[in-house]
Amino acid sequence: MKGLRLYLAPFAPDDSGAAAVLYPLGGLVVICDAGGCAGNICGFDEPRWGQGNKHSAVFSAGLRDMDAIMGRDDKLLAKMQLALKELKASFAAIIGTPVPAVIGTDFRALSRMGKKRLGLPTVTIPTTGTHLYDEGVSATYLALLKTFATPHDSQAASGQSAAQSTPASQAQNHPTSSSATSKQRRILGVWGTTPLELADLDTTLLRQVLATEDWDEIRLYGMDSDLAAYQQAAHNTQNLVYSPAGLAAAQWLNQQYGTPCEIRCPLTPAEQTILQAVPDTAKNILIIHQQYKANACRTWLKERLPHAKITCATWFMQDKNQCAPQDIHFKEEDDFQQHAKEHHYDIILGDPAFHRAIPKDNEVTFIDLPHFAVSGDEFIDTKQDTLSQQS
Amino acid sequence: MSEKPFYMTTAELAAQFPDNVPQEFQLDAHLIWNSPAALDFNSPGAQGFGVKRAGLSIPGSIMLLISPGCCGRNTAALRGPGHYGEHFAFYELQDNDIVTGRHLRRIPEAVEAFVASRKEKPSVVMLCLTCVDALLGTDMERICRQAEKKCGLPVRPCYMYALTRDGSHPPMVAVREAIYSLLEPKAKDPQACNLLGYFAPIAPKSELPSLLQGWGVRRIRQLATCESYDAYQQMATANFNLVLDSEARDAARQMEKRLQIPSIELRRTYQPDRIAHQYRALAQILGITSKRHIPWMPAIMQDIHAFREQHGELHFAIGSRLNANPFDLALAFVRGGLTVEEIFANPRRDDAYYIRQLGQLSPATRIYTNLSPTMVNYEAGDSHVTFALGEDACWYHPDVPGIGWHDEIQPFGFTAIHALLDAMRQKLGSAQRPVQQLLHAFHFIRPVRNKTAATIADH
Repeated sequence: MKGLRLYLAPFAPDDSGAAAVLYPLGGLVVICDAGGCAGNICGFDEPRWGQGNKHSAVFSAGLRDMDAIMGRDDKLLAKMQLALKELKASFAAIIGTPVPAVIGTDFRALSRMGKKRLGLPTVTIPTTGTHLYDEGVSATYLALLKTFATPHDSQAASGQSAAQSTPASQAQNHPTSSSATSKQRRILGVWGTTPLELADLDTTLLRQVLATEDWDEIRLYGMDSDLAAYQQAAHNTQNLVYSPAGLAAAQWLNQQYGTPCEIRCPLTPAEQTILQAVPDTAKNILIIHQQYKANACRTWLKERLPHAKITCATWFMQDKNQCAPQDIHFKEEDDFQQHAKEHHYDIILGDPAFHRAIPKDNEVTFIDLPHFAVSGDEFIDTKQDTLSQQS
Repeated sequence: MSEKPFYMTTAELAAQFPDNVPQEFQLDAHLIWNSPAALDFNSPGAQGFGVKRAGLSIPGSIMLLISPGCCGRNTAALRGPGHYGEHFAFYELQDNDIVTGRHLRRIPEAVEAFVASRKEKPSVVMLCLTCVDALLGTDMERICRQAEKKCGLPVRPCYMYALTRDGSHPPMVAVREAIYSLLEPKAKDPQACNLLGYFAPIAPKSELPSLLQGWGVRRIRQLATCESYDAYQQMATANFNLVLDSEARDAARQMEKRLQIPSIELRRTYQPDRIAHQYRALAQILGITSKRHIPWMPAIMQDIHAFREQHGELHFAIGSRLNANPFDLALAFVRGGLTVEEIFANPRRDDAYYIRQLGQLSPATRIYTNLSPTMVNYEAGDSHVTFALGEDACWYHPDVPGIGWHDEIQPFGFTAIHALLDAMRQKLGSAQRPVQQLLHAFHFIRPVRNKTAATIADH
């Protein structure tokens, strides 16, 4: 039945994705909600929260029924103004939730009003809580780039600060400046890496894999990159799209500054060890994850099992250009169950939460391939065991 | 930019409370800082009981959460091993559902599918709704009736409307009404009472049950200890309800109106004289004339004295994420001769008495609010705190000994004071005072033979 989930809890929503990108940037990040969404984001979807970095503060707008009924945007800005009297912030961000979605908040107007009233660049992300995290990640990357990205040495040329210059003027004045940068310093920008994608906050393994490619600097957007990494995104020599959530940002940088981009999800040794658990006898395999990771797993497995039929499935964004004909996109729990039942897979690789939804009469071997956006920390012990055992 | 956390001393606040409360203490006047210290406020179900867990308190109940995905996200945590796996299902709203309300037509069918999918037949289905339906004005009572017809089980709405948190009927009040609304009228048992307010049982060592039994109330029921739906229905036989948390007041009123069960309210306090006073008042209402019904007051006073002798030098920080009213606890400590340096809490109108008293007895105690954005600037190094009480206070003071005092089992009465003192002693590494020493006082309690608790109506 459409919308009904009897076995799978909801996946990370778009507002969590937006918050994941904004979290490490040191802005005044406000979830435009009554409190519950901010609690969900911080208490569940943001594993970095509460780890002592007070600069990464997240606030709830604390909306009440009359605020929503009366559409008191001015009150929200007054609250933000009050907070800025006591806090240092380089920018402000407002993340949408179901409440502003229902009352039809004009986020573009809110952004303009915010910039004027707060005296800070104000990024608004019109997420609704009904979509999935990758859409929030994608929208937030773009909003940040459009607000902050400046071409190489533009400040020296124009005398403008990052916050003052507009993307349009930047694009016009310095359309291809990234090529000059790349000669000086080789920087890899990796897009689509948030804690919601990576089951582990420790990015050492991923960095180790990428370090073999001889980069001077690796920027993981959404993990540990700061606001300067967005301001200087045009300096990246190359952009790597780790998950479909990062595709729009990399394409925008390519269009604006000519920065080449590559779609690739490098597998860490720990992930490769998970794949080694797939037996040689496997003939029909289903991999469920974000599309690019699923594809990377398929490529890795194909070398070992060239005759196996491997299907990649995702519940999240699907880039048609990266799909094999047999690949599938799930939207409803019923679809997933029906598919699993009809296709008689030997092996299913996916987040442990999916195991629960597989019909009991299916004789399938399930191998855990954790995805934080699916089960959060529900199986955190299992995930840590899986990853630590593998690494 | 002051870059200092906002606080007021109790003397300053007492001078202007409750008529002139600074905006930092007014929840609707500022952004809410979503720190771990404030998690219980923003996401009450993240730890302890929020609407979702509370709504599943009826034995054998299941819950369908009808909301956008984001509202049900943290429910994944409740579905883990040993939790509520089989009890939850979700109906995820899409943009179109919100605009057209078309999902409402499908809910009865979804409830039917949910019930059919469970291994055991549930006793009741709770439909949990969120802010979206609050704004849309969904008539969920009607949908529940339709769903009842479809699945043949009681179906009740459970309102998780965070938008109404500061209103007169906040979600945690509404959910208490919902969970007692299924009780059917039954003949009264003069020897039975219910304890209302908590979703977990009161501490087994609490003197309250034995006190009541001593007064002839033989059957004391709590929702959390009902093992079956039939046992839950027996709550309707109670002669009276004891309301232990003010959030259950509306539910008790509803029960009085519908089931003719009157109620008496007892507050959880850590001040021994007030506990004794409450018990005396309760005894009077129940028609108990014995002079010996509060026997353990001297023992607990001794216990407090011993703690002060041993640890009187401590400076306490008291938070609000604990099983106590932080202002009441602070006042109890101050009256017991201990020093309270800081309180992390938002004062409510009901706290005026405590604030006035603290203003006189401990005027320099600082009151911080967990929720103000200025708390980003809080530095533990600036204070003299040497012991933290409450999950939030422990978070602010990670380098001093502290206890969360936040277990689900609810401490109540004199034994709550004793247990708290012992937990602190244990943390400080000092010898525990044997429980027996205090509990021997309980031996004074004797069942009042051939006497039943009079019906409240008689008084």
